[in-house]
Amino acid sequence: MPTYRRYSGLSIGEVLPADAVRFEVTEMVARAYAIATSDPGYGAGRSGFVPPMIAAVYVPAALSARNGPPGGVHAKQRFTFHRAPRIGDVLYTQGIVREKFEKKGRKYYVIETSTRDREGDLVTSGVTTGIWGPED
Amino acid sequence: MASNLAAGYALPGITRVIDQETIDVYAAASGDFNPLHVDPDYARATPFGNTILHGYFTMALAAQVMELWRPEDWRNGGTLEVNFLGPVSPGDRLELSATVDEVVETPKRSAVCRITGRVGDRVVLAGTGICPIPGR
Repeated sequence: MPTYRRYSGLSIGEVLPADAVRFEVTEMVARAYAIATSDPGYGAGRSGFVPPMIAAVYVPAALSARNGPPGGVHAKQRFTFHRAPRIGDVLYTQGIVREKFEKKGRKYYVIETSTRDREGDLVTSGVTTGIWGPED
Repeated sequence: MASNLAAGYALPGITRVIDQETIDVYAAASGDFNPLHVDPDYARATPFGNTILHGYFTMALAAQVMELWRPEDWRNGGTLEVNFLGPVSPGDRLELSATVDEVVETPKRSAVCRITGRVGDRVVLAGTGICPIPGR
């Protein structure tokens, strides 16, 4: 009995997850990400730098709510950085399933994500296109 | 700096030589410990035959190319859309480059750049970076 969801169970318009995923932008997390990617924007004496692509940390946490099988492929990604994230930001991310389609025998899904701050202002928006993993 | 908005202008690129440590450090910073990235024994049994770099890492380098060019404009309105076309594995020399395609005036004045990620002659990432250009 698989513990993942089946592609057939993913619905257009479905909100993932039901409750937005919370993410706090801390100095430690931002620094770790900047160092991991050798971000030239991060340098000695420049505290408070937050790479916009830290979205790659908090957006997947929301996308994981689709609970697909292993072996899926990340095909395409779009991010719009509406404002630079700041240390101390608390961000909330949710996704909506916008599309499902099959191409060349592969099952695709498209999820649109929105990340907002405590005031409800948009910080990052995204569109993720993935290939569903093989099901038993 | 009007000249660096001309069609064909090549933004300064970024090159990284990828090793397993790079991948492991990114996994820790992003929270993505998919065995395909961090477990060589697991990865060897997959069609990839080796561990692969997170797609978001390559995307982060693409974002860095754009941010290095116009830091504040990019961080407050930039859009990056990429297709992940091929794997990047330990030992690969990953090169990210971008070229201004055009400056558009609607919906707001923006530079549209074509972005490419390569390992040798193999294209692993292709996409578009759209950077707002504040009023004249």
